[in-house]
Amino acid sequence: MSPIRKRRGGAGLKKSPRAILFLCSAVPFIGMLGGIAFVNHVTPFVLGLPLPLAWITLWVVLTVAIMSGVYAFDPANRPSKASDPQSGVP
Amino acid sequence: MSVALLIILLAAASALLLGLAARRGRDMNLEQWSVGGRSFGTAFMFLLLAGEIYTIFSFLGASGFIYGHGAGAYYIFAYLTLNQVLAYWLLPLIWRTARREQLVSQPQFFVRQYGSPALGILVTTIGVAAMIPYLVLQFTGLGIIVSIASNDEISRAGAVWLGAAVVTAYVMVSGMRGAAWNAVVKDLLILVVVMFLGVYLPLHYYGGIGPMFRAIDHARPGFLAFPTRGNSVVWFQSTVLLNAMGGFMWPHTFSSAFTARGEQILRRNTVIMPLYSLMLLFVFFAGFAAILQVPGLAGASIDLALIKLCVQTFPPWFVGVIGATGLLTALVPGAVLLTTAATMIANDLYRAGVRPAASNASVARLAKALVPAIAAVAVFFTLRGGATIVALLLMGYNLVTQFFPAVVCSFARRNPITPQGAFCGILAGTMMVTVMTLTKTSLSDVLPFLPESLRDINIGLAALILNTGVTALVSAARRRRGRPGALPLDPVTHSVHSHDGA
Repeated sequence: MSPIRKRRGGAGLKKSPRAILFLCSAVPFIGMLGGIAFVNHVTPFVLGLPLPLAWITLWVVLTVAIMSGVYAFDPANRPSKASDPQSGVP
Repeated sequence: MSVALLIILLAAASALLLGLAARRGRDMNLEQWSVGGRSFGTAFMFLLLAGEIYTIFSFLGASGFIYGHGAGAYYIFAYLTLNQVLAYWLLPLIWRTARREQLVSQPQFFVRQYGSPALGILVTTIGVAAMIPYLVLQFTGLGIIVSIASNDEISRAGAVWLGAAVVTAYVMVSGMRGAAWNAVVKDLLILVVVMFLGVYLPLHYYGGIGPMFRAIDHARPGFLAFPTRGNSVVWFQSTVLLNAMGGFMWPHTFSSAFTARGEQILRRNTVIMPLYSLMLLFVFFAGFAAILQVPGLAGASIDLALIKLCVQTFPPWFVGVIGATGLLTALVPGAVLLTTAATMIANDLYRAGVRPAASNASVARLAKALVPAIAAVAVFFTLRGGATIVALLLMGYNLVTQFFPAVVCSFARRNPITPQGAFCGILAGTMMVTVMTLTKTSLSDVLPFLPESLRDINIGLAALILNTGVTALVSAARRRRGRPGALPLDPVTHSVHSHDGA
């Protein structure tokens, strides 16, 4: 999606990457809360854990991965000089 | 005196000394005492935030909830993670406002954002009321640890008084900075102790984590997944959602964001923090291990599960180390809660509502004088007892989450909510929670036509929906009465903003 964003000019360029990142951070909510309804059985055990617990644990780890990505691509975390048009895009 | 008790008392004494050392060379004015002079970097912030999140609740409460209710406890794990995702976006905004307006407390945030002193007073009252059960659960945990570790040489009531006295003394000498320093020690200890317990107990009693779960599943079929009623999937989803929104609405977590040196520090912290919550997995293991080893605990006694299993398994000196860890996990958050509650009553009720002319020094003096009084109130409720640690925390969460819509909307370029809307919405939501909690009413009693699957929705979430509805209605009504095109701002807000521009 980033190449498309790149072609958008002006103020939108600075805003839109953050909007995408914001949407990305909804994924853990959908995964953890939405998914749980489908895995609510004790078995099969995954790495010894009951399935619901394994599911939530998996999503804790995935959340860290997703949010690390969000942090890395978030223009707000760049040093203030780097807010030129290029840096807003992954 | 038992060895275990001796070690616990030594830990309490050293925590007090560390608190004293932390204040050295610093003038303890209101800003230093309550927000550490806004100077904390990443590592310090991380520890302070972690210290507030991983309290005695995650030590005794989580293992007890696992013991008593099984899968329901998974909610703790899930909400701590999702709470940090929301915090990534929310905390920097809160921090920026606090920095611009030089805020030291959460009610001030509402006063400035909505230009409404009345809203500030409402938020103070609700915030302090919600922190009392949180404080009660710390004292309950302290009481359990000290009395069991002393082989009941010290009664539960005596232990609660002792714990409260230590927390009070500690807060009065050192404030926020002492809490952060003790958090360093506490976090290292709890990490080591919890991981050890979570691995050793299942290994010792069952031959491993996998075999343990199979044994529990065999003895209590279905206990490891969500039941169809009670702590069901819908309960899990609504509770996690509610607590994720409420995590940073507590007055003390809200204002802990003020202590950061920069907003990037906050964002970095929220990314790493869920890793730290993986520690809860080990608490769960320890709680599960207790199910078949210390059977027969029920009601509020489920909180004893972990510590009873430890007494039964380990030599007294090690029980002492575990007890000392538990003590610190109650002490640090207890200190943060007391500091925040006292500052709020002195600054946001007394100065904002009664004597606007009060000087900083006299407010700081009053705040410190209030600490023992608040501690005494919490001890009173602790000794009346009856509720489990998790039940106490859930009650507090239901209250503070009612702030969420008003906080989030206040960052909109044109806030859709009027001060009156925010006031009425928060009031309606908290009234609903209070009435339903006190009368022990469930949602299906009030709305009998609800479909079966929605009956276990957390009442806090239902109250939040009511809150949002009332807020929207009142805001729309106020807006219509105002002049067309007029901004929904009070004169006070205008003056604040014009100061900004000047």
